[in-house]
Amino acid sequence: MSKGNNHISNVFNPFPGLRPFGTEESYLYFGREGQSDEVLAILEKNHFVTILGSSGTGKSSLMFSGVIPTLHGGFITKAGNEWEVITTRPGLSPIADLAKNFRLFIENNSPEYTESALDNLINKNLFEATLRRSSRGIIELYKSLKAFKGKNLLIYFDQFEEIFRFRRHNGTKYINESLAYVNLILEAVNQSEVPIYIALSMRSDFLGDCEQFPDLTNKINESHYLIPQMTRDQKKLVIQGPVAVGNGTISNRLVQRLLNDMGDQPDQLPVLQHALMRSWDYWSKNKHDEEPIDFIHYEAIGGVTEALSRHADEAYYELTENEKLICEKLFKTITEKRSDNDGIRRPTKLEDIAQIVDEEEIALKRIIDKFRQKGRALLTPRADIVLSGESVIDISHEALMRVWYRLRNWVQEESESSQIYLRLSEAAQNYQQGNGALWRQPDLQLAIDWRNKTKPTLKWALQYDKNFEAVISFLNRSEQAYIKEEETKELLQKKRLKRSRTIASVLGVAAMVSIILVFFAFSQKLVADRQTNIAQQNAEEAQNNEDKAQESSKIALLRLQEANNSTLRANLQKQKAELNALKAKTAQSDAEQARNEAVRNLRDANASKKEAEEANEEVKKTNKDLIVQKSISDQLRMQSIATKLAVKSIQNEDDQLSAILAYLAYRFNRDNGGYENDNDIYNGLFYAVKGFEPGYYHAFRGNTGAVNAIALKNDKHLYTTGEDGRIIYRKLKDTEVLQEKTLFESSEILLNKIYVSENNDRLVALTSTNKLILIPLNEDAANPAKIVTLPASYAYDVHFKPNSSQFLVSTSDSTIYQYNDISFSPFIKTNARVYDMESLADKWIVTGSTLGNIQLWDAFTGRFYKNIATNATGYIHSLTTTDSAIAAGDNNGQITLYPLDKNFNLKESIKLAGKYIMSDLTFNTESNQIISASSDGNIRIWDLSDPDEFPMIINEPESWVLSVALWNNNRIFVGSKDQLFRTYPIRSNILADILRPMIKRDITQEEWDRYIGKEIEYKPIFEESVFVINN
Amino acid sequence: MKRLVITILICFMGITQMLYAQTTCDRNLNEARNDYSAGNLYAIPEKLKECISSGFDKDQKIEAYRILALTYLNINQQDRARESLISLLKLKPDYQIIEADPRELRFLYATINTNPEYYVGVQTGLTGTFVNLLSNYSNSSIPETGAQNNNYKLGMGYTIGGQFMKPILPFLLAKAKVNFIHSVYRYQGEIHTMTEADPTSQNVSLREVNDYLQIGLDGRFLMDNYRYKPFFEAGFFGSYLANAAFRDHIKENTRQLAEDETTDRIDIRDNRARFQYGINFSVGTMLKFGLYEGEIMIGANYTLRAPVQYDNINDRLTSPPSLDGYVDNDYQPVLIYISIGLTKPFYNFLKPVKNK
Repeated sequence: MSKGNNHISNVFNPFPGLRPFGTEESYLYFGREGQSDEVLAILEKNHFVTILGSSGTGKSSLMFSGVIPTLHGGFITKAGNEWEVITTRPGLSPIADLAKNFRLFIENNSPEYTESALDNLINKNLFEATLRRSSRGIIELYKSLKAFKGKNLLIYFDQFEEIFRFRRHNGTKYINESLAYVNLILEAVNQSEVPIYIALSMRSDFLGDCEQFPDLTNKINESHYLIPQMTRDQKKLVIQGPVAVGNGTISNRLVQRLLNDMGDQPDQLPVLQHALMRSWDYWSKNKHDEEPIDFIHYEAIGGVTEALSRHADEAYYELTENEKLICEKLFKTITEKRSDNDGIRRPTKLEDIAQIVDEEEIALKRIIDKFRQKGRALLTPRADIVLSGESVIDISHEALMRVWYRLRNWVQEESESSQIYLRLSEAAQNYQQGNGALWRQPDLQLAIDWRNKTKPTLKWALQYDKNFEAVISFLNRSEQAYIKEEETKELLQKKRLKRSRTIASVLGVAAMVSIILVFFAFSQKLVADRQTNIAQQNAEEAQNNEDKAQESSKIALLRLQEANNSTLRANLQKQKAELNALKAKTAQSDAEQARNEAVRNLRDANASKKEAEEANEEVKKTNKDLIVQKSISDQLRMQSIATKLAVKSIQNEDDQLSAILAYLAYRFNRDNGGYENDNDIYNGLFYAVKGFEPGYYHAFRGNTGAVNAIALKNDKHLYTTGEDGRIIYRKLKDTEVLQEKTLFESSEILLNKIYVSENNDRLVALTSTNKLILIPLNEDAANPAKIVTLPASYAYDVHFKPNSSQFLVSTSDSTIYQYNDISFSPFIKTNARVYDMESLADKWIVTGSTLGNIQLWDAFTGRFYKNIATNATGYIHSLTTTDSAIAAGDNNGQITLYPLDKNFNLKESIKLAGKYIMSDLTFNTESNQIISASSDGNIRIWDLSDPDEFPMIINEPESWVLSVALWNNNRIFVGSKDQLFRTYPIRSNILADILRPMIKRDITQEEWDRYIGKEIEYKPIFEESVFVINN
Repeated sequence: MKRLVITILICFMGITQMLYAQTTCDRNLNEARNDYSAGNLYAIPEKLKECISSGFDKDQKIEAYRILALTYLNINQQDRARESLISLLKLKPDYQIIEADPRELRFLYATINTNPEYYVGVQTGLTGTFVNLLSNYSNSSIPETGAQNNNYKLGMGYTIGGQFMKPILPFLLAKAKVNFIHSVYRYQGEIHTMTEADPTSQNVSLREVNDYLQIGLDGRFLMDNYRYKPFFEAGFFGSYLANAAFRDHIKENTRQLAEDETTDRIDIRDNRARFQYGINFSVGTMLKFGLYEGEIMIGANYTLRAPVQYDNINDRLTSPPSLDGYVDNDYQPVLIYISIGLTKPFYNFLKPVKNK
């Protein structure tokens, strides 16, 4: 690249980031070619169009960079190319804002109206008064202003959903104003005296709110445009187009990675734009020579997942600690959480924010400026607009709420905070009316913590309700009552404790005394016995002494007396001794183009009258083409209606109506050549059937814990095992179980996986330790289960040799061992752990390792043949093979498909994006599908004839999906961590056949008109059936 | 002053840093929980690693290690799962796996040796000493008026010591102990020295105080009920008599013919056996007290080799000037005790488990 180009790159960034594309940026707007024409066709027909789509699908960009520039090109032939466009948003004062935008338009386009400040003031009040005077305000304003004379006027109402958000919180005054606002729009649309056209853009999740304005709902029904999901090729254009315009280059591998990183989410476009903006900036500052934008630049800014979060954090970290706290309150004020975990914006005037967060406007301006400075447009208004108290502060895009983890947490906290406040408010009202009591623990503690942490202000509370004073008074009263109660309790507790201590002391002493007394009594008995003996001896001696007594008078007499006394004491002791002896979860453009071309041709034919006959022939031919194109267009339209119906069927709560819509969606799609594996059609049918039979998908009961592994042989021998330590065998025929028996059961062993030999004669089970369980399966097998010990710590996979019951086992010591019915011997030594082995063409073994290597080995000798590929994104967790392809699933949710030629040389690989760990994979060769089980709880089914198409996703399992097995090429068995073993049909037609008999009534004309449209001829479901409706 | 300001600033910065780390770590733990239930297993270790080193409190660390162990178990990294669970147990050795825990965690727990390797503890208590008279040698002119068992009274003392216990079987601990014992009994009796010339008698009262250094070996049979463990203990001991004396010896002439004689201390260590031995029985219970085991027990020491038992009357403690008329008798002491103690179990989680 030249030096001059370098300079251009430094100052020019072709990606807008979070904000929508502007009208002057249409040369940078790619990926939605043709869609503007479809919008304009609706606008031309009805003078009104509503652009619908989820957050982040590019509604505003389509309008600014698609529709408006095309309009100026004179696309609406009847109207010419003289157009004036006014853009407005409902905001907090919709009519005043509309008037302001009229005034700004006049100021910019007709200076003669606004020569003085006085004129400006007069205009401001005059315009607003005109709009408020009657519902014909817009028409009268158009008529009164010369600037519009002879011109068409398009008024574009951006972010129209704001009108519903503000109705919720701003009372009767706003409700009246919003009603008047909608009437102004409707009146402008319904008249035909002046050429006014109206375009709205609105988030599709607010559609339900439109019922507040019945007339508006009817208008939207007649003329809406639902922005379609971009295909992979369109997304590619979104990336590559602006890069080319900016004179840059981007590597193909980065494009592929960006597409994969975007994943299945429909609302990733702004995040992608932001990541591209940041990558471009980084690339333009750091590139060397002619280096293209590549992984290094992309990863430096954090990738799709991190870039926005880091960018926002950069601004956050530039704040002081005190400013960070204010920043948190600021963002909490301008965001809001909906009941369905979805964050939405809440644009608020700066002066109101200041009151809500209780801070000076000057302090807030400093913080807001950090987030809206050039190159960092995270908040609006844009950096070149000076802020005033009247400025409405808003985040640039909802995507910021989903991606910036800090803001996500704040939104959550704010939601919890408002919930507590609203609960308190209700409790306070009940208390005042005598219907409720003061709060007690634990609710009271939560409320006190909330008050101390959030320090709510009156203005903050007014966002939710008007009961603030009563709430604070109620909370204080509850707190005081609680403190008083606690003091009383504590006093009583102390008294009780004191009493208990006294009793315990007394009992303790008593116990000690008792023990001592027992020992004392025992000791005394021994003593007494001995004394008895002594006494008897003494008695004898006494007798002898009596004889001597006579010889010695005084002494003898005395001794005799003492002897008698001793005898008496001894007897007393004996008597005493005796007494003492007693224990706790597309394109429709060609047709329109052709039609418009035809119109243009007709016009040309009329204009060039010299070649009238030739032109007439040309017209006839074109008309013929038109019929063909119209037919294609009708088909595409019906497909679009089919998708819409499928989505509506899921949203509908009436089981019968859901079933009817889902079935019609299927029929429209089928009859109009729609995509057979359409995800919406499948899910519409799926949830309709589930609505009738919630447990329909729970396969055979048996295992009581998570089903860790499934082995299915010849479509009729099914083996399952799981957390409950049991291996269950079932013999199947069609969908029936002919026989069921438990092959093995042990509460002492945790079974992880099971494998069955090709001949169905041996089952090997892997356990949580280095033990393997071998079970013979022959009917006549007499041997019971055998437990063998591996020469390594753990086993990951087992692979049976072709037509043999001998097997290989990959282990934690990076070795694949061979078992020959007697012992294990090393067979293959790998340089990393192998989590999966598969057979290829009966002669080879494919291994997938934790280094991402996919290698080929001789199945008989164990000799290394070749390295097929190396997956740079992570560990290979699962493999599956056909004779001409290998598919590998990794730990980052990516599946890579490696098509091989005869010599196993790799052709171009195909990447399929899933999520988290790909725990199991299987090919369905008959339907050319690949089926994946993932730890994110989803089963994804890709049609390999069109891998760029969105996959069919079964998201019914509520936890990790551990294993999947294909049954009869049209159903799958699924083992999941949530303890349910399931079976699902993998084709919509099977589901449709199941659903049909469950439908007990037909669609009514009224329902047809509402959900499908009056322009489509009414065709009831049962008209095509010969069966008589039961019930 | 300057230094004080700098110190305060450093402390403030430290606290701010700590609070910031805590908030970040709270969030990380929360995210790790969500990642686990959503199946985003490979993202978990990185989120927890830094906060485990610094930022988590003890309870958070325990939960973090538990999540890590479960995560590693489910991504084929059993060795790391084991390391995580052992780290958890080092923080909380009495961590219990419950029935509701995932089965893989229960199995991993079962492969780790969670029984204590040994216990080390201290104990103290009160003692009471009884005397069992074997033979009477008191110098009385009237033989049958000499010392009787009822002249010996219970005296109160104390004991303090340490113990080491090693599990031999699930229900049996071998115990070695070292105790210091302060044992006391009292004597009170009338000594007759009645002769024709001096027909009088004397009241003698004294306290014999013995200080022993005792070592013992016991077997403790217990029932493990986790919170409390009742036990019965039996064994033998050997004692070294460090000190023996009569204290507060009072001799009183019953006829008041002579003045009372009072002596504070008479050393009698040479008149007692220096080494004694005996058997020991006790019952009690161990009580779980956080990470420690408290214990309370009552028991008795029965001395087999008596401290006073001479063959020759002449070897006996006789008539020191202040002990007219009193000759030491043969007796056997029985020491009962009630004690409380505190022991700390020590573990070796790396030791292989057998039959668990």
